[in-house]
This record gives sequence, C-alpha cells and structure tokens, in this order.
Amino acid sequence: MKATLTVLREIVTHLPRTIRLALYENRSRRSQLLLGRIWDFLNPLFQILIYWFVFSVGLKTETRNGFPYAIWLMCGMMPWLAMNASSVNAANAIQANAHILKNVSIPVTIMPMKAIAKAYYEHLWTMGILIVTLLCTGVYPTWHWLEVFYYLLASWLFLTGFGLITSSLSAVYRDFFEFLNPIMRLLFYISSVVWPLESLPENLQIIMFLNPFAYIVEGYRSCLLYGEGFWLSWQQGLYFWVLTALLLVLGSMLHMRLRRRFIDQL
Amino acid sequence: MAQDVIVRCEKLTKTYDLYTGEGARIKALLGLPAKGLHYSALDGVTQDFIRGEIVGLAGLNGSGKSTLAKIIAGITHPTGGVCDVRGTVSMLAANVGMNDQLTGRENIHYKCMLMGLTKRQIARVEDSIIDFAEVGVYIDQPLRTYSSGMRSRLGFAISVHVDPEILIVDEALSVGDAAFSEKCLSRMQEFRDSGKTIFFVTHAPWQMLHFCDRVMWLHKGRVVGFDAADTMVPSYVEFTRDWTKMEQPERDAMTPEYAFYRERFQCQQREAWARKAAGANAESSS
Repeated sequence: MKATLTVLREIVTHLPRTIRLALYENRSRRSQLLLGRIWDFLNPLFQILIYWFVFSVGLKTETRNGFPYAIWLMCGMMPWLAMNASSVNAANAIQANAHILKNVSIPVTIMPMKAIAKAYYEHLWTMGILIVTLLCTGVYPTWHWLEVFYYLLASWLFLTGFGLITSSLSAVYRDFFEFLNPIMRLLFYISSVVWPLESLPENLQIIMFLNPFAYIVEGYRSCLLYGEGFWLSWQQGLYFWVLTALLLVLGSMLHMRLRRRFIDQL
Repeated sequence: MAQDVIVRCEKLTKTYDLYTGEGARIKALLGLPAKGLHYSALDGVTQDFIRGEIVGLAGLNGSGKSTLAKIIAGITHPTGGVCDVRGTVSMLAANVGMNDQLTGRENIHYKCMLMGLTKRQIARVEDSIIDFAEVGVYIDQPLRTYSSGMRSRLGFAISVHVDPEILIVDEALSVGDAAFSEKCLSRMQEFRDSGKTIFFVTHAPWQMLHFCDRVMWLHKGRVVGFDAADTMVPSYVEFTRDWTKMEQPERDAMTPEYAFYRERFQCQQREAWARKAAGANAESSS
C-alpha cells in the first residue's frame, strides 16, 4: 500500500512535466514528416479501411442496432489504437529511455507515463475526426457523449497500472516485452474492435466481460452510438475498477521492488 | 560542528552482480541461488562533504569514482550504507536528452524539462543558454544539422544552466575549443562562488589541481585519502607513475597508502626547493 501511494504521488506530481515532455517528443516525430500531423489521421484511416474491407465487404459482419460497420468500427478502433500504442510503448519505456535514466536523476515512472501521454495526445486528434465523421453521417450528439471522459479516465488509470507492470518486467527481462506483442494481437481480436463479441455463443461471452480493453472499446460505442449510460453495465464496470485497482497496487509494488535494479541492468 | 555538511556518506557500499547468463540473472531475481560474481565497486566509503566546496574524485578506471558520483546524484542506489544528500543535485550530462529532430531552441526546452526545470525557470535561462552555446543562427535549425562541436556546446550550455545546489561533473570539460573550455571552467567557478557544491570527476590532474578545493582518492572502491588538492593531486600523480610501471600481479596486490605518496611528493618538493635555493645562491654569489 505504501508503495502504491509513493508511486501514485510521484506520477501525479510529475504529470505536468510528463505531458510537456510528451508534447515535445510528438513534435519531434512530426517534424520528420512532410505531412506532419496528417499522419495522425491517415494511419488510423488506413487501418479502418482495411478492416472495413475485410470484415464488412468480405465477411458481411453485422453490427448491433444495424449501425453502418464503418462507423461502428471507427468508434472502437480509435480507443483501441490509443490503448494499444500506450501498452506497447509504456512496456518499452524504461528500456527505450535507458540513456536518460542512467544519466539524469528523474523519476522512472515518468517514462511509461510519457508513453501513455503521447498516445493519448494523438488520440485527442483522432477523436476529433471521429466526432466530425459521426456528425457528418447523421449520428447526433447526446449528453451521453460526455461519458467519453469517464472512459478516458478509466482507460488512463487502467493503462497506468498495466504499464507499471509491463514496463518493470520488460526492463528486467526482455523476453517479457517480446511476449507482449502476440498478447496485444490476441487482445485486439477479442476486444470487440473489429467484430462484435455479441455474436459469440453465450458461454464465451465471458471473454468480453473479463477483458478490460473490451470494456473501454464497447464503452465508447455505448456512449457515442447506442446512447447508453456507463452505469447500465455496472457489473462489468465494477469488475473493471477492481481489476484496475489491483493492477495499480501490484504494479507499484513490483515497480518499487525492481526499480533499484533497473539502472544497473539497463 | 560548525561546518555545513551537504553530503554525508556512511559505510557506503555498492556491489554489482555479474551473472553467467540470462538464466542465472532471472534465477537471482526470483531469489533462487544463482551462479554469479559480485563485483564490489564501492567498499565502505565514509566521508562528509562540506557545502560550497569543489571536490575532486581521483582514481584509476574502476576505482568507484563514477559509482560514487551516481549515488550522490541519486541515479543509482547503494547496496549498503547511507548517502544523505541535503540539497538538489544535478549531474552534468552534455549529450543526454538531446533530440535530433527538434531545433536547438526546442532542445533547450526539452532537456531543461528532463532536468526538472519549470516553464518559468526555462524562460529565464533560455537567452543565457543561447548566448553561452555560441551556435548563432543554428539555434532554430534541427539538431541533426549541427556539427558535433555545436551539439556538445549546446548540451553543455543547457547542463550548466540548470541551477542545482550540488553539481556533479563526470566528463571532460573539454568540448569545443580552448576558449569554450575556459568558459565552462569559469562558469563552474561562478557556481562555487555562489555557494554551490561541485563534485568533479576527471582524469586530468592539472584540471583538478587548478580547480578543486579538496580531492578524494579512491582505489578499488576504498578511500585512500581525502585532502587539500595541492597535496593530494601530486601524491596521486606519484602513485600513477608507480602504477604504470607495475605488472598485473603486483597491481592486484597493491594497496596504495596516501601517507607514503604524500611523503614522497613532499620530499621531492623540498629537494626542488633546495635546488632552487642553491641555484639562486650560486647565482647571487657569482
């Protein structure tokens, strides 16, 4: 518990600095690209096109309430891309910033948090396109849209806990990071991003229930498309928050335990 | 105790674990017995350091200077003992945290943020950094277009403008031309004059002699001596002369003693004075 408080305090105190560092790093990536920020839009757009072609045109996937597949996919893909980028980059964060950590006294937790901030900064832009697309295709805003902020906060806290664990483990054993990639690929297909998990048989629906990524992905859809409050799936919500709390506690304990070793072994 | 202690080291030890392979390393992490060596980088260092001094850390490669510097900087943690640091610390690292794609100006902001400066503090030092770095119109160009000299000058300029109470310098102050090195050294002196403490790791004895108040001589993780620079540095130089003449087995068995080398250096000094005096006498009598 003490470790959790220490880590959370560290994260919160350094949050403004973390975000500003993230902004500069995003700027540095953009400055290499002629099209700059447009890539933040084009990348997800290409992915959406591909999955739309495969799952809608090819496999004739049906969505709930008969929403057009492309719209449905977009609502799920945007949060997924942010969560995926956060998970992978946060896991790699300590290794990737080894040079800095070995020479500057800076709290280690800044590194995974910075990775998450970078992904969510881009997410704000893609959310912009999503909103514009929704408005253009005749999905009208409701008060439920504001619940996106709830899901933003929820995913951020979840990813913080998850990132603490994965970054600490990948810093001491590299194999863990290699293992994370197939896991994320698997999670992509069972998080209801590209096809509705509702079409699974009843007894497999538990996958969706237990998968925190699916909670966020479906959450975006339920507030943006279905107009359902987050409290309707309160059982899953409760499970999500218990899991998040658990990850935060475990993650910070693990982090505090391993952090003395990071620097000498990086 | 009248003097103001800023860093207190007590029985400081640091051991690095060296394993035979990844498997052994993971076993050790899990708390299982694993094959491996323990390399002792610091072995019981006890010393108080006084605020406002420039302290040199002398020693051969692998003597533990950098490890001690990194422990004081809070970058690595001691295995045993206490290192009590009573002030903000910053380690000078010119080439760390420089981003090739950002412009010089953006790099100033980025690196200062890494070093923990607030937005307001950065705004205050920005112009002074640009002035110091002498990169001219390049300041708004991406760093990838810089020559290596310009790069390190900018990195250096940023590093010396972070304003900690304790500054740790663990790299040569010899970036750029002689004029720039001189500027760096005088910046360090300014630092000391404003009451800051500096730890200075270098292999250049003349720099240490010229610049440090006191010098700590480390050998194989132990303190050989801690004394005023003008007796410590020449004694240490005496030792390095011996060392270069030694063979490996001799070196392994060697435990240098400060008193011995100090005596030798002072002896030589007295002889030199005597010769000088004799020369002067001879001149005056002729």
